[in-house]
Amino acid sequence: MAIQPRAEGYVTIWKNGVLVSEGSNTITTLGRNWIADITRGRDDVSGLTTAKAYCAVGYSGNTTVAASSGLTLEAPTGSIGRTLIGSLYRDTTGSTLYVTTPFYTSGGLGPLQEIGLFTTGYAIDESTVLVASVDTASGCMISRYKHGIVTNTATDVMSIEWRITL
Amino acid sequence: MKNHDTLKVSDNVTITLRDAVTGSITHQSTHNLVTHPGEMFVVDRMRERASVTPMDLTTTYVALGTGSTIANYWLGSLITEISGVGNPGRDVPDSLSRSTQTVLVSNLFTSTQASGGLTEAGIFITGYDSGGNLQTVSAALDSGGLFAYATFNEITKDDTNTLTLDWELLF
Repeated sequence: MAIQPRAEGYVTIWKNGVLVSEGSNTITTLGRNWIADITRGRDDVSGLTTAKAYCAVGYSGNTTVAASSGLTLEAPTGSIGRTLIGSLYRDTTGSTLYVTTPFYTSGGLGPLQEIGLFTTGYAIDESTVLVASVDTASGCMISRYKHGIVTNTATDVMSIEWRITL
Repeated sequence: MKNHDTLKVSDNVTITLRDAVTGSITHQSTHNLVTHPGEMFVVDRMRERASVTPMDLTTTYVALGTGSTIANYWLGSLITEISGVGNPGRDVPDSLSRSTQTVLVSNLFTSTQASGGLTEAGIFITGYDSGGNLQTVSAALDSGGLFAYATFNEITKDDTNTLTLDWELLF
């Protein structure tokens, strides 16, 4: 019988210190490919670091995700719909990666319905490198979470925590 | 809408013994386990932790042994790794690639390697153990962190045959 470790994703969204949404998140096909590539150290692939990985928010998410490389309708750059991840850590004896990203009062505004975690990885064609940057829709989407409407205004501070457990 | 997804990491091993004279081939396939330190290694790679080197052709070793144990996710080494002058029990992979979400690791142990009554195999990497200590892999016996472990029915290998180990790690 195969002995198969599992990995799961889980997201919590906090607004002004209050939990407003939580649930399991989708790991995309590109995300699975990316994990395999980062494990073997493939050139041009970046990890989840505070200098290279982004968390983005979006509106009106579609209901299905497969090999998608981006959010359905990411908030445009002009409203600061994405930002570098803020911090990350792993427990000494655990295999969960905690990734926390704050959106301060000027970022990620709107009636939000989906969020995504982005870094640099390969597209499904295996030849195109999707480079993550502050630009809207850039990079390789590792994970996506669709949720009920969270209204984030200019007076709110929102914080998003991803947990990826292998 | 499926908004709840999981990522399985499973793996399979195929062992192929070839007689150097007759060319006869014996196959055996088995499943194995990815250890907890192996999972921690992947998470550390995801965040580019310093000193945790990739699973590649220079900083990864595959080893064979003659022991066996029940499933133990905290296992740190083979039970009885093959070693000795003229009969090394571990080597770096000959190839390592990815096909969609599967990483393929392949080793050919020549007639002068890993002879014995083989019953176990493992992939070793440089990563952290349960105590937070870095385990650095090398050609030395039992060095490094055990990423994956497999046991199988005894295969007798000597200097008249070669053995190929093919691992599939599905992410």
